[in-house]
Amino acid sequence: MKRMLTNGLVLMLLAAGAGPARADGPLRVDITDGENAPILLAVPTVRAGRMLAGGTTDPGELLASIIRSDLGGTGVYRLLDSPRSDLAGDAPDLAPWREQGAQVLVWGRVLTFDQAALTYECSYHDVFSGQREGGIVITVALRDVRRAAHRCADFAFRQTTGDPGYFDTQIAYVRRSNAGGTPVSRVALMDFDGAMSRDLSNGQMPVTFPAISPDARRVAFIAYNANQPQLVVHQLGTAQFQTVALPAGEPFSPSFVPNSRDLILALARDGDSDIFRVNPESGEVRQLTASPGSDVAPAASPEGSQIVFESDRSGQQQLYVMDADGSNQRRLTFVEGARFASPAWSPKGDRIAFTRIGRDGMRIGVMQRDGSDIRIIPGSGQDDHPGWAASGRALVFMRSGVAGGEPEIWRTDLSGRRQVKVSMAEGAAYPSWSGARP
Amino acid sequence: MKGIMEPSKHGRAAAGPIVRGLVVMLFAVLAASCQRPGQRLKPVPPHGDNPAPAGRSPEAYIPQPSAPISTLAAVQAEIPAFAGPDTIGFDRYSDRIDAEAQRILDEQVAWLQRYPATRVTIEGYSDLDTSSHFAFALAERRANAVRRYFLARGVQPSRIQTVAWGRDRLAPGSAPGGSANSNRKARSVIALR
Repeated sequence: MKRMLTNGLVLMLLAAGAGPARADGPLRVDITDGENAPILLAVPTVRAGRMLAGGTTDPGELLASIIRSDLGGTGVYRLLDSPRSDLAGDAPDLAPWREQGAQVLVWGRVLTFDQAALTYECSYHDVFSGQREGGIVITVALRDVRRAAHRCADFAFRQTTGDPGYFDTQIAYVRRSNAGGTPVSRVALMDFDGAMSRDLSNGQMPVTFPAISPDARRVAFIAYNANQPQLVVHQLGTAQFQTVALPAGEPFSPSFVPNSRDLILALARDGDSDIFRVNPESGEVRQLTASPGSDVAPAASPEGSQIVFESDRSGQQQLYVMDADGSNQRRLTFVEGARFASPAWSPKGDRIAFTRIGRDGMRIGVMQRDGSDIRIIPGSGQDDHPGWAASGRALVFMRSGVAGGEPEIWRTDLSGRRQVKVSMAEGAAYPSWSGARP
Repeated sequence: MKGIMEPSKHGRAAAGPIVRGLVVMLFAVLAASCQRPGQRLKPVPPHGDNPAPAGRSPEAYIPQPSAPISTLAAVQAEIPAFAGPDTIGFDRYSDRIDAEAQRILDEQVAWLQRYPATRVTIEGYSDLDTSSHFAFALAERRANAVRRYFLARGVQPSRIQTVAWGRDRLAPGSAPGGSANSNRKARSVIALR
């Protein structure tokens, strides 16, 4: 936010020339490499006129503030102040926003709400032309009221950029705490902004490496049952926890293969780690790598046809790519003096995020899928475990070793200029970011 | 505490003859719930007033006493404490067992062979400055290197379990903050069957 404000002068100049470019429909911008031309955005507060049950919060004010926070954090927009707090009318009054130079206005109003549910109207307006460019009506359970704002922000983001937003999504992670000197770990789930965190496991067994499916319906993780790590798959919204039968060994690094029911993971036994593919429903298991050394961290491409992974078969950790059946294995990274690790394939398929371990410690970065155009995201402490936003325009990652403290979960745009701490827990590790929630 | 924060990768072996003389006992069944990283366990008096703080909320990963404390204490009284170091160190990213580690493991092997009613869980740990995924594999490699060492010296496979903790946990004596040899360790936890 601070950075956006300092760029205000430039933005005003850009804003003046932005109108004609949008004549053919929704404005498309590409901020993959940074904040090229943030759009001046207005999100008026439209009060519902009465409070949520038992509270002092007007749901219209709450939802508008969440939409502002969602869209303002992307780097795509620059938010205009919203001094006014209106009761809902049938349509927004664009004139005062036009005077302030707004290009886009996102208008949300609560249509109805009671103790169980809330219905929200969300529309997207071109301020210059006065055109309403689209709208949706959203109904959510009242306990999920924040999702109405996230879905409105997703709609607006897609209108602006053509890409899916990442707001109505969830991050699975390991919540770490300390009970009288004993470390306790739980699989937990939070909204993309860190809100609404809840535990999925009770801390009785140590857990690690959670992975959420792209459709946000399943979470896999590793649980230490009497010192034996096991792969567990949990169906969200149910009490179902399935322990997946695997060959002997210690499983780790599971991830879901998009467009399939399968998981890929690493299995360590007798000092050797290899990559396996398993279908938890049929129980079918296939070994994909068999070379000596540690093959770890498999991640599938969005169409599921390729798998990128980390291996030290050359003597130090580098990234490799193979076909989904394990054939055609080839090395992807060749950089003197650096190790590459923890790959993640972007949902657009064009890029791979990674951790680079070099003289400057552990840093995350992004490269093209052929290993070219390596860009490092500035960091502090030890950054690792990157995962993609559904938009392909942001990453979540784990930051450790800051002042010797517990790990934290952060989000960044691909330029690294906009880094935000997401987790609110004492210790938060191993983030895995879903696509849009069902 | 400070005196046993090791200057070399083999912490406990390097702590000097005076500290070495102290009895280190790792009956995880009885004592793990009161252990903190870097803390040496005091010997539990077999018939003491306060045999074990077993009620302090052990998690599932700590083996639960299957027999009453008094029974375990009686069995324990017949098995003298394992007096050697429990933890060995490794070089960066390595699972090679060097000469100093061998001396430590040889003491453990001799003890395991003398008391066949025991078993051992080998915990592998990882350097903190590597990827979370590789850390797990490295930890498993280290624990497995110790397992192979034990097997080669005649310890029955059924008495050995390995578990990789990666960089999720700190071995006793390790500290966060990335000190040069932090957490490059394997630890043998010896327990009654």
